[in-house]
Amino acid sequence: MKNGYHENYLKIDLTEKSISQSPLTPEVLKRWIGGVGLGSKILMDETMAGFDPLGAESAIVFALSPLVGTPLTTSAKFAIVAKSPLTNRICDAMCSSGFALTAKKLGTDAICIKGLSVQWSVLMIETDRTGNKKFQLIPADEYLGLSARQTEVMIKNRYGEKWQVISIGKAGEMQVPYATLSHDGRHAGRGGLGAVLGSKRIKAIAVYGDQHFEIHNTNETMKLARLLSEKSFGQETSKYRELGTVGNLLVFNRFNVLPTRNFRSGHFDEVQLLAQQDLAPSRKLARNSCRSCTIGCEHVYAIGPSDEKGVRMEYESLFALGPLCSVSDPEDVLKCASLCDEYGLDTISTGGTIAFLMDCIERGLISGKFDNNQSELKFGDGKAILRLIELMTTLDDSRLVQLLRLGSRKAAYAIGQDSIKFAAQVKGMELPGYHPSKLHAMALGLAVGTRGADHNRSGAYEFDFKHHSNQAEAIVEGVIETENKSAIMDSAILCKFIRGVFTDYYLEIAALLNAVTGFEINATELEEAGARVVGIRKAFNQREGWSMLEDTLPESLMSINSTDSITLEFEKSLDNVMTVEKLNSMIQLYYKKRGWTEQGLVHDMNDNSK
Amino acid sequence: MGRITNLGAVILCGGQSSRMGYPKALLPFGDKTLLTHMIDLLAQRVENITVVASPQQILPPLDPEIKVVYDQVAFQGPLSGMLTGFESTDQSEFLFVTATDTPLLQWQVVKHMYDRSVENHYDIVIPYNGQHHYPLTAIYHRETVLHKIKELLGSRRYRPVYLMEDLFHLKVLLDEFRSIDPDLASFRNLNSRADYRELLNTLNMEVPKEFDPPEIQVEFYGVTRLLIGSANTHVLADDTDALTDCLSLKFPSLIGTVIVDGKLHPAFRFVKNASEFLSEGRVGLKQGDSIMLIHADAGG
Repeated sequence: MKNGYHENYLKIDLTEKSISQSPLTPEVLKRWIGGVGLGSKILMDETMAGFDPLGAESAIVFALSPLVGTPLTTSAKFAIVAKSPLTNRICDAMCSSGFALTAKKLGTDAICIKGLSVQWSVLMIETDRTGNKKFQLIPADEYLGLSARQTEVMIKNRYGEKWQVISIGKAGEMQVPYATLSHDGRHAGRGGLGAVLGSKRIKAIAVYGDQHFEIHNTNETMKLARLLSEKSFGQETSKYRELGTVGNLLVFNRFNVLPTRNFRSGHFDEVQLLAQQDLAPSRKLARNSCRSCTIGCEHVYAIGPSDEKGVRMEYESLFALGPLCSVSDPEDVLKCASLCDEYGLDTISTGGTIAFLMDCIERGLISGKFDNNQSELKFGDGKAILRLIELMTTLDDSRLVQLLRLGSRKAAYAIGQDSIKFAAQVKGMELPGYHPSKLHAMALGLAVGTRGADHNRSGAYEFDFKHHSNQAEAIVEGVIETENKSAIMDSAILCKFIRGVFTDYYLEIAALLNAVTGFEINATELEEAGARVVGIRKAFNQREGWSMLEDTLPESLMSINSTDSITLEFEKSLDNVMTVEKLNSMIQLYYKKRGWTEQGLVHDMNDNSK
Repeated sequence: MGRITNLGAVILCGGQSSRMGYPKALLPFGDKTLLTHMIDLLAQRVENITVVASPQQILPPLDPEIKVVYDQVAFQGPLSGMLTGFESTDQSEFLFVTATDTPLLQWQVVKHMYDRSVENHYDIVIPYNGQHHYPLTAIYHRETVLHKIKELLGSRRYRPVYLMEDLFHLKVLLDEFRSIDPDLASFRNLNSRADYRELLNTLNMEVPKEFDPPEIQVEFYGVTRLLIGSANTHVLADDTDALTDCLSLKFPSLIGTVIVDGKLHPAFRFVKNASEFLSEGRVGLKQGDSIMLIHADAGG
């Protein structure tokens, strides 16, 4: 077929040690496109209601897309979809880049892995020249305890550079519910997908294939690819190219929306110490990019003067391990981020849970002592955080370390004393670096997000930063629009950092998809597909026991208790800050505009999963 | 020079003056205001003068000879103001319509249009620069045009240019006026404080202190901070257009990247006082305002 797909997905059952191939019709592919959309559809089909995300019956889906492997810039990405052990709801995370290209050469559009390996293994999947797909489980004892990066290097050294590897670190082995999956130093970070793979006793997956797919209209695809690349060099992406997402830090602080001290404030007095001027240029080592990407957003910083390896730094890691914990020493933050990378820990959930524990300690709910009473955790102490993270992947069983391994929601339940009220999480997932008290669209986006508190599946902050409206209807429509657009970007797949170059979003992305697939999908149909992808994720959660009580924000986040001597222009500009009543009324309107029931239920589960 | 007996003047002064940030009718102009200056320009030349103001608008003291009428609803646009003015005077066959903000208007320009109007019985004689018309420096046949204004407002069509649809009109190219007004000063209107200051300076008139441009703090974030190597600066600017010009002059490295063709590139955005996200178009600024220059793609 000349449509950018292989029209099948692979099913590997680790318990049965079997591999099979299921067909994907063009009709199904047109409905779900690929990536997050296709992955969610397969997860829905391949699992039964109420399954344990860390049980043998769970499935983890690696979904590719029609654009992967084409010359379109930023398209070398894949989605990983599973039920999250952190939230017990759907989780999809994106990663890039070489793994996506090689996995597609297996001659498949997705890989669904179920069952449980008898022993720790590396799952090696390959396709021979006749198109025959096979897999092996190689004992992984020698890789256990290694970082994802080390594992990847060792597997490639042993079996050859042609293999592309995705792996978990020690946190994944220990099934920490916010463990990441990592490839080439990039993490599918949120929701604990590393723990899902770890629960199956798979340390790493290596892929190799040489199957090709055909593009519907090669000339048109090449033309559009050239155009998109040219646009990608413009000012619309300059922030990512010159600074990376770290550039958000000072702007957010000025807007008073930089989550600080476990969301007690939106302003960090010592922010300048962590700003890009301090991280660069003296600390900046390199700028990297994913394969097939012309933006190059990855900025690598040296931890100390003699560090030649460096660590990739993103705004989300910086805010979570810095201001959120009141840490202002850049070296401490870089070291903590590096350690999270090494162990395979989501930096947002790690920083978020630590900030919550610090808050509990400051309120006198728990003791801050750990490490045989040699260390004490408190706001601002980066060295203590570093030690706490180090102990996470050891056999240390002190209470603080145990609580940290749970994530903030479960830790709050364990601590009790109403601490859940100031645990900054939604559905168990820790909040990203946007204080919702002043960002009303973001507050709604975080509350209703199917993945939990999430800035990637709902870029609702875009609405706040462009329109900053108090009008509930405009906010709700803004949230729905950003959710649908994100769903399309994550299904097509293109990197969200290129979104600024599109002037007619759906029309231009439809043109890219049509050139590759020949679907003849129009802008309206593409927008509907975005809503459909949001819908199936909701339908999955509904099947797994979701109730509308989950769509909320902790009350402590509705306003900032600011005693700082700061100018609160941003707050003053609002008639009032977010309240529970206001949020609930927006949630009701959101359900209505989504076409769901007043209880937020999808009317026809089948319609959302066909 | 005597009065023209069948020509009246209608001065529309009820505009919002939003870019000026000060009622144009009250702008000091020597020992007069802009409105009284306009009235003096036309008094003794035309049969009568009617000033059309917005409801409750404060006007400078005027000669009792001057008729003042008020729009029923404020800021409905020039056609609505013309309706109020045209209805209130039935003495003159022709009306010259002007606003308060063309203080360099030359009577010979009005006379020239009036003569053209009379000689061929035009309903409208309107200046034209090849692209745009000047409906607020034009001659109208009162009765005919009044009928058309009512028709347009009834069908919610508010642009003065629609007046010409089926009325007998003459477009006079601006160049035709150069023999009597070489610099075409009659068509120079004042929209911003910068326009006002420049005019007073040209005329060697003192600019009132309160019209000095406000000092604005500009904060640079992200790429712009990298480009100019500074976190903030101060400029004197009445509005965002003037601010953009000031930044271009002060920081040439922004030209071609952040500021293109004199305008802010769509990938960047001004934010006023860390709360108001400004979109395209000129926005007035006042003393003490702080403007953030950020990347439009905030977040990510």
